Amino acid sequence: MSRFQTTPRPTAGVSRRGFLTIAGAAGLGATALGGLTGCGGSGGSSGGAAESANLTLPTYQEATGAAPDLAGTAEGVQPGYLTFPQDFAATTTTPPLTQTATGLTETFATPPPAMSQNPFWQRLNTAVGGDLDLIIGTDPGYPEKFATILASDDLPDMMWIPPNQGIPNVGQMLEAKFADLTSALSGDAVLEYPNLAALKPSSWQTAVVNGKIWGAPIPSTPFGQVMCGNPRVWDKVGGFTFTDMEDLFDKASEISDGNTFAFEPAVVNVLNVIGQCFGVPNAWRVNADRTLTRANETDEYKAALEFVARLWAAGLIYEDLTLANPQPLVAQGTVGAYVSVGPIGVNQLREYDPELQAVPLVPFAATSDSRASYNMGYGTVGFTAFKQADQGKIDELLALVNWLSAPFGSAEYVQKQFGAEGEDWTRDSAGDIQPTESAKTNVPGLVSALNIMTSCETVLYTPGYGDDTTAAHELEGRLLKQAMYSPVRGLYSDTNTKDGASIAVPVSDTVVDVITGRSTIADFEAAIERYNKDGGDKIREEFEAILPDDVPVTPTA
Amino acid sequence: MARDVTPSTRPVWKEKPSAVLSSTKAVVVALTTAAILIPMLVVISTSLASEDQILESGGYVLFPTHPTLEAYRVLFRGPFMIQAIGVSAFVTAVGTALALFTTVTMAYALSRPVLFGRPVLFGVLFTLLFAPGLIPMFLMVRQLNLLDTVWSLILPGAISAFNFVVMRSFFMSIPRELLEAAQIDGASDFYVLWRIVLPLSKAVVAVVGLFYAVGFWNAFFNALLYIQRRTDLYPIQVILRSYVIRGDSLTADQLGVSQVPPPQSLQMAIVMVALVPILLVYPFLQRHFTKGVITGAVKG
Repeated sequence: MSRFQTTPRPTAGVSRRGFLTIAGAAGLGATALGGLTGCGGSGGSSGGAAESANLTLPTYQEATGAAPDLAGTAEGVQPGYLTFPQDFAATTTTPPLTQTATGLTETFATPPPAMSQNPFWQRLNTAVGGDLDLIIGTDPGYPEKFATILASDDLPDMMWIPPNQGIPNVGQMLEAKFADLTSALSGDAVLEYPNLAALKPSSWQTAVVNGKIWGAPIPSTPFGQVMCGNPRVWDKVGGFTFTDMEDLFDKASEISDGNTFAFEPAVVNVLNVIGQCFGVPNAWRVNADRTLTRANETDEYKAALEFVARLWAAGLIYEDLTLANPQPLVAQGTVGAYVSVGPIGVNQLREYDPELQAVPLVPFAATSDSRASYNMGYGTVGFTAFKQADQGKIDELLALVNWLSAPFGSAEYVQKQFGAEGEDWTRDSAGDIQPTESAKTNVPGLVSALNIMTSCETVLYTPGYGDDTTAAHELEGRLLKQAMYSPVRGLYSDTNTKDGASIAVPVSDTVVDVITGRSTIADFEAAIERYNKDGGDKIREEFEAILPDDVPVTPTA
Repeated sequence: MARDVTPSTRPVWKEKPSAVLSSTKAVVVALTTAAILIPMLVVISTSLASEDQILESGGYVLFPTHPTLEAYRVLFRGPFMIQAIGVSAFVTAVGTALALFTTVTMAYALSRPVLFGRPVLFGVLFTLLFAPGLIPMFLMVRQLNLLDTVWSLILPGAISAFNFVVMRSFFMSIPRELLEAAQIDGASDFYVLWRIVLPLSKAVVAVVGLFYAVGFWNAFFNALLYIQRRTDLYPIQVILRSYVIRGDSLTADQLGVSQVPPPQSLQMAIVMVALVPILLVYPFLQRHFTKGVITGAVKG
């Protein structure tokens, strides 16, 4: 089995909980997707919404990298690779740096050895032409590190701006301290940086605030959450498929006995998946009269919420709500199912048991009256902004980010993800890249930090498990048939960017309380009412005012 | 013959306890002890248990039938743990010594009636009871060029206003006549502190030292903020926190093993690694502990 984690795997780039929060925001979370897209805003009454909507995004030019074994589709199925490409073509001609570049990023793995003790890091420095002097925060703790460094006014050249870690006043901060990259990246200007031009317009939207482009986006899977089960657990009750919600409840009850639990304890994620079976819309429902109804205001949401509360009351959900990572317990059989980010979740139990491929759950109709759908995710994990500097330095940083965003299978990609052949990796008989002993220590923490600040568009590749890539590829096709995108995707609401996250917290807390029996549906309805008064209604009005005509009415059962 | 009903002149606590009372006390003490020891036993046993036994027992075991050290072997396999324990041990030892020095000397000075400007100094120290905040502390550490040094883990915690108040209260309880007698004999303040006050204050020094040591051993937040590039200076709690909060740091990939030990065993092994070193200090200080805490708390 491969020991490397690669860009296309969501776990490599962002924490599971953090990532799920983003994905959840696109689904049932109280924070609407637009809040993530705007990511700050100036806070002024006119805001940057209109300016951002009118900006010319960077021209998209597809990367001409290694041909995939499983082709991607125009509908959105990602290209898949069963083994790693044999030849690595370079996408750049010269190293991007002539001097040291500093950066602030975060690792979602064990922190790497310091640069002076890390040969993999040193070889990467040689490849890019200068030292990559990174301050690497740990998860959690990044917002505190970000805030203190920002307050010191001694900023590194590049800083990762996460969309979901509560960094306030992003718009004002960007205007005051960071470089406006619009002229260098908007429209055809981006073609000077071909690897950045290969990032999709939907990815670039995350880096647009107040009508300007502030950095390079970090693409991630465009898919939302997928519930994955341990087949050894669910095969006892006929498999991880269900005819309706009562069938799910009965089978889950059968496998749960106080020592085994059907579902993981991240109840909001469980609710998100269950909600899709009930037909809860993705973030908002577009009504026939072009008004919007927030997902958590729908009857379907309340039905899903009551059902998940019933699962909890029946002891079918693992009881430790603080559990950070359920996957080891799922691999062990103590927990039956977990929620992953995207279809690649079918591969995630392999890390704990190489023989175990997880089985995914495709949303099914909860009742005979339900219309099941699959909520697509956000597709990026923020962007990396540059400190204000002279044009020469900015050009060099753009070249560096272009180098670090090189597509899957390119020479730059291999150097960034795996290092140098012979020193950091070797090929196994199946053609996959295997790390050397020293790489197991030196690589994961640094690669995780690099991937959260720069990335190419994601592909499907599960080193050593080609059948998992095939399974994920096939699953993506099935999910896309039911796919629902947020109707406010790419739209901006000033109130949402300013207050959306903070006013949503009491609603999220109440949801958990209802599920765990500490509050009632009436409490939840009261929380929604407060949310609307505190700004929710204004957010709705702002989105309704700019909702494009071509966004279809959300279908219902 | 009339029964003697004259009440005893002995106070009630000197009466011989009844059998019922003694039994009740014994049961309560036994239950309390069990409530403390059984979880500890579960932690130790689970860290040593096999996956089969953990699954059979529903997650945690009381006695491992086939004990294995695999969880500990995995934890200590990489370079991080040993390195981090070394950093933590250094920070704890040096930090505690330094913090005790600053606390003892300041508490002694501010317990003396002759010190000039004592109320002002005391007022300044009183402000230390309130944390200065994340960003001011960061700016201070940065301006002192302490970022990415082991001293950034020590100096910000080198004085605690709470411990200072406890220590000063204890010093003020020492009879003034004793110190004046020494000074009449020509002893300097340093001599009085070293030869008279400290020997009389072993209890409070021990307990305050313990407070400091536990604080330094358990600290992780300073490292998250002040250690920026020198990841080799991360103390053990940062590494353990990473393991506990982000369970996927312990995947087979990063551990370099084909299959990881059961997650419950690893978690409990982490608890043991975090707990045992500092726990070993307690027996040596226990006899001072109660006396020190009570004295510091009730005298002022």
